Amino acid sequence: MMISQCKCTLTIVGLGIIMMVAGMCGLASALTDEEANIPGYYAIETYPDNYDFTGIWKEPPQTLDQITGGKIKDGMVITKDNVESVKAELISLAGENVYDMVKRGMEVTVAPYKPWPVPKQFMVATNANRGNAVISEDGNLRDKDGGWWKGGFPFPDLQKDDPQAGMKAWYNQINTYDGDDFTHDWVLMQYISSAGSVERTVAMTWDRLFLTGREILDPKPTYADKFKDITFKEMVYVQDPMDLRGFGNLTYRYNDQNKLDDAFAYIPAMRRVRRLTSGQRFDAFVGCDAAIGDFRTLDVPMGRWNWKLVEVKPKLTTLYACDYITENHNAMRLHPSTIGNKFPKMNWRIWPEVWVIEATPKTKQDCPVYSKKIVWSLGGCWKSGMGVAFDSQGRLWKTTQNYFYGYGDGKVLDKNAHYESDFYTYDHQIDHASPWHIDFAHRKFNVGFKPNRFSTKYLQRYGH
Amino acid sequence: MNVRRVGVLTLICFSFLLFGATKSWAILEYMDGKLTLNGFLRTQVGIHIAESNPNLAYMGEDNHHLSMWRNWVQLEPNYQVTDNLSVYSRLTFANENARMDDSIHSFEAFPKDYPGDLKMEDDNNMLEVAEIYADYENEAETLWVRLGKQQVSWGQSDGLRLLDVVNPLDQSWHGVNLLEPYLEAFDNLRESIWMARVTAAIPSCIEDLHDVQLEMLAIPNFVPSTLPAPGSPYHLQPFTNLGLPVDENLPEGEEWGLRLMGVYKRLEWSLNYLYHYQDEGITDLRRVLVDGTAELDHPRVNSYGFGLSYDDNLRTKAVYRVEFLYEPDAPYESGQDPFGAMFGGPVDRRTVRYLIGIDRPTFVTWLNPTRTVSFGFQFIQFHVLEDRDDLEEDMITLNGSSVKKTTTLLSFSADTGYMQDRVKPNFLFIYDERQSYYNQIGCEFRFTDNWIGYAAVSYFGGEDKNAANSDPGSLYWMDEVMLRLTYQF
Repeated sequence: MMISQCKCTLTIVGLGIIMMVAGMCGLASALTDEEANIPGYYAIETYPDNYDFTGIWKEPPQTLDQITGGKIKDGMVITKDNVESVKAELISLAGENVYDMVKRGMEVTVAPYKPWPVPKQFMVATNANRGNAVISEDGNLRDKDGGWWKGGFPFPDLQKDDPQAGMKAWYNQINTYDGDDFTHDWVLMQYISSAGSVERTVAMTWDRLFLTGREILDPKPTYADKFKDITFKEMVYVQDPMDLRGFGNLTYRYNDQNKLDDAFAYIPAMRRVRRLTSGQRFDAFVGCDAAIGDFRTLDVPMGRWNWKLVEVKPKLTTLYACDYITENHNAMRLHPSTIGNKFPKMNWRIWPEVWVIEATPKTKQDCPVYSKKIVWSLGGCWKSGMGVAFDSQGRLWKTTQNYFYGYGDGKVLDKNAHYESDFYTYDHQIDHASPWHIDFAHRKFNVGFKPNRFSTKYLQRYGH
Repeated sequence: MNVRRVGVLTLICFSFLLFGATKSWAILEYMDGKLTLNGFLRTQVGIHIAESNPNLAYMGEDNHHLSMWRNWVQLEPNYQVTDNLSVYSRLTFANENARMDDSIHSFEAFPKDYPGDLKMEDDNNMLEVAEIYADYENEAETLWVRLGKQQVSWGQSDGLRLLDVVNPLDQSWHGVNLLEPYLEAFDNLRESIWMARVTAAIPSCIEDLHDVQLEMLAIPNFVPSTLPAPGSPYHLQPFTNLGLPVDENLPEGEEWGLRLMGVYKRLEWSLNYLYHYQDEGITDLRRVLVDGTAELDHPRVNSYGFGLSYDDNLRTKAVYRVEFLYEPDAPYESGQDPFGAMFGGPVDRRTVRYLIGIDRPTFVTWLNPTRTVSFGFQFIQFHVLEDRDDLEEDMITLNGSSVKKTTTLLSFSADTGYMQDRVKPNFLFIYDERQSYYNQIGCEFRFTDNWIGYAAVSYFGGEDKNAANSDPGSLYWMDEVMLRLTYQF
């Protein structure tokens, strides 16, 4: 009896020591400074032949100096202390919302223009399908032969006087280069108080497989005929905190822009996959300041909204916003900020042609909380940088932003993959923020996922 | 080895683990992330606010104030052996202190006992491997196998079990599921059992038919549900009032089940079948006259069912759920008066149970401008299809109540989140057509990522106190305030 007690005690203590040693051995996976301190434009300057610069300015037609009469220059940091001296210029270049955020403590570091091309393989698809895109009467993007869009930018030669310019500019945005699949681990959602303190965090993964409009990986442009109506399948699952760990969401996104997603959630506390309604796209996502409908600045079925082009002009945008590879998971090289963690302190660069679009829901049912959103589509690369939401009384409510790092360096990161460092939401009315920090080291593009992975089976396996 | 000592050693080990981990946020990691560990420390108190438990009357107990004071540590190590193979475990050390209430006699706090339960316990402490299983998925991701002590939950219902009949319940520590936070209720009570679970993706060439899977379950040994032990503040069995010893007959046959599921267009569907034994047990009184013993039997049951869900996201913005269960041989307690002339064993009756549910998250902007209120409504009916009148009129159980031929329940729930979901109130109301009801009002408080509190009041009421029919009113003595504080990592 004594011997068995001793054995049991020693086994438990021994296991603990092994765990401790193993844990200490596991500290090794962080990047070195040399590996990490690489700006996001390194790849386009080092491997220019990998990218297609069609439609992208090598240099902007007008410099920032010329646009602002010398008031805003490269290298300048706009803070609450000097913002009044450049108020009109900042509002013109970034919006009233950004001016409001700077007044509250955000800092805008103005950096030189850098072009943002697309990988050559993507432009091959754009050129192959050039001139074939039409918008059908129900607001859907189709080929001239009546099928769904096959990939690439649908309207690369878009003109401002096109009566459907707003809708077409946004169709360019949602068809911008995003790989044929991707995976992120350890996306860190933070909930930030007015004082800048972190109130709570949620870490999650985000995987997506495009089933139509595929440009890079075989099979393309459609994975299989049975998937021809589905744009992508997507899975998001929570890695932390413990009580939410394993919660997973599987989404089918349809090509038909008058349909909403199908959504299935695995709820660990119930040990079941449950159907979720996708009808409320503007419900706060896990309680944060952003809703699913705010993702990528505005993520809604296009047929359910009206799209009006407001203007096309140079803007300060958040391309190449961060000069190093962020590493959330190793708790190293986190994202610079001001007022605690409230405002990202990033680079803002001039982009010569930003298509400013006013998007309004067709009915109150389509968006019960916003009267409109103003969104940007960056002409040429057609990425979205900014979304501004107004409440039902027309008052400024939320800013949503994408902060883009750039392309991978070809060593640590894939040079055919583009990286966002932050998806950021700021609630102007309650002075509250939700930055989502993306861990580059745990993001991969064109992985070669199979459709079987995007199933309720996987949700259950992962969720336990 | 003394269970308390093992528990203390577990805590010492736990501190080793904390020091040895690489830190991400809350989760702990080892071996470059291949081995992860998370879990919680929790204290949970049930404060009794009703009249005394009639099932304890035979012990002469005064009304108690403390129904439960459970302290527990749960660790969940997960080892990713390869991309395709992983091993997961849930380890629990629990300590029950309700006996600190002078009105409560000593009782067995952890009475569950079955081969392969992987636990050691004394009256007040328990250390167990609550779950342990290996997951394997093939390279093509078409076949997933889970082997080990695990849980499987079927169905579409909230707060009730229709198709969720694979695992038994451990009701010994908190009475009934309705006393737990309602969205996690069964997870806290469901007992993990040894089984093989194989899920195969079935190729479909039919347009609009997706995610078709066949799940196969094989359960080598039957495990019954565990009820609170005699003397427990939650003690549920009225027949111990009569001082009858109970002899439980545990069948030795295997159980197995199949589930075929998929998505057609926007309709999610499943077809279910389980060949199993009744978990809770049916009292057989035939031996009473022979040797004064009541038998608890677990008759064989065939459960056929289906589940459906549909998201009408554009028009009504609601999810509609249907769950249906048909049992040709649902067992019922033998209905004879123990002092009457006729004695029989448990009887079978064809029985149907179904549920229709609607979930609709709705913006109620005056109540919450940024977060919807999730409203849930369920209509549930149980029908005994065979010899209905006999069952209702003649089948008298030991506490004087009888199973109804038709039972209708309505449930309504609502929950929302404030302050970035750091304050989450919830509400559940269940109404039985015979004017019996249950209500839970609760709220979760997320103080930090690590510290979470939960408080709820649960009360049962109404005129009908039919225990045989599990009417909420029959639990009138179980009302409580539950407080829970968790440190998670």
